[in-house]
Amino acid sequence: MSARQSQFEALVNAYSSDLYRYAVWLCRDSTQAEDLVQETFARAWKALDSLNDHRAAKGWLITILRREFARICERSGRDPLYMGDDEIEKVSSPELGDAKPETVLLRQALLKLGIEYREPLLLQVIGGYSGEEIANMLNIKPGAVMTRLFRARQQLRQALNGEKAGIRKEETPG
Amino acid sequence: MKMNCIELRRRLLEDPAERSVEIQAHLDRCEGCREFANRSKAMEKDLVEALALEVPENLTSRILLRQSTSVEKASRNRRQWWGAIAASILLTIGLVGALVINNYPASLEATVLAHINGELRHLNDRTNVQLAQVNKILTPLGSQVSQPIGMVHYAGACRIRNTDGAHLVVASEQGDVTLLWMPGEYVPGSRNLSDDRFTGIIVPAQNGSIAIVGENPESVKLLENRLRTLGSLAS
Repeated sequence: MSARQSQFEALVNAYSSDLYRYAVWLCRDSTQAEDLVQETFARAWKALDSLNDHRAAKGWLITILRREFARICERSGRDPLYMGDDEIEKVSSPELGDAKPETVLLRQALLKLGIEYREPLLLQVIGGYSGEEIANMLNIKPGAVMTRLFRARQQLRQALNGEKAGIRKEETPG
Repeated sequence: MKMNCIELRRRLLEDPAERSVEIQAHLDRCEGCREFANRSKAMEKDLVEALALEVPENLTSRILLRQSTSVEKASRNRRQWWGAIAASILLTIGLVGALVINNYPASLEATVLAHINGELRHLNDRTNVQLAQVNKILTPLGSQVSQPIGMVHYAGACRIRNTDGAHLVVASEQGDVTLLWMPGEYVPGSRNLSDDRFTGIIVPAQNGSIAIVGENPESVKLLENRLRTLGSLAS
């Protein structure tokens, strides 16, 4: 096996899961997410020589994935930043599985979160990046990143509190 | 300046993991914010769990499979590409070769046979051509015969490979023999020629060569000897 092949396999093994999760939450479609990850790695393979620092590999892959997603949106005439509620409904949700009720509620709330709030949150929680790093990746100011993170969590809390209140109401009728 | 509750809660929503000195100092003295921080921590744990979707089985294998397939395909394409280049080169060589061959002068042997087969009518000629008439044809070519070659039935000027020559038909007991005087067609030595009907020889002459062609090899040989005796052939 060539050194290049070994490097590629190491990247796939290390980052394909995180990249897939990132993709699902980005495009809110598990089928498209897998295509997106496949395409990302296909492009990564071709551009592997441009990756000089293995510590930057994850960010590099996320950048490729984001670009590819933007390309898909551009081709389909879809604006990744703005999706109406009806459009969200049409998008196949990620496997909610038999997770505990709080997790399911949170996933539903995440699906409804605008991408401008969702993406910094994904980068912070899945990617483990700092506000400064997210600002560089999204090409926005660090202050704007913090504001979006604040609003993202605020919206999640509101959604959760509202839903939880609803559940409690249903559970204790009369 | 002390951090107030609003500022602290904003900071915790931006990054629940942050535990700077000032945040910790506020939490130490504010029970409400401690409770908020604990709830934030729990929600963050739920958030991590919620985002951690199940990854499709064999995703890694499928990615690697696609990559190895594309590498194989690319190498196949590369091979095909090289194959196409090689084919183009061979085609070019073939085309150039065909052009060269087509434009390459036909061999002298083939020219002689084609000339004779194209003028078979002279073999039926029964005119008795005199020596003077023969020399009248040969002289412009820088050649002459001092004595009769034999019974000449035909003597005429002709062109072989765009050069003036002489065409003679000489009778012999085993059938007529055609002689072609070909000035300028130098050959390094005698060359035999034959086709389905004729057999013959091209022999070096003083200023080119002479083709001696008939249906009978013996007649050809006799004429060759005669011409050699007459000094028409190069020694």
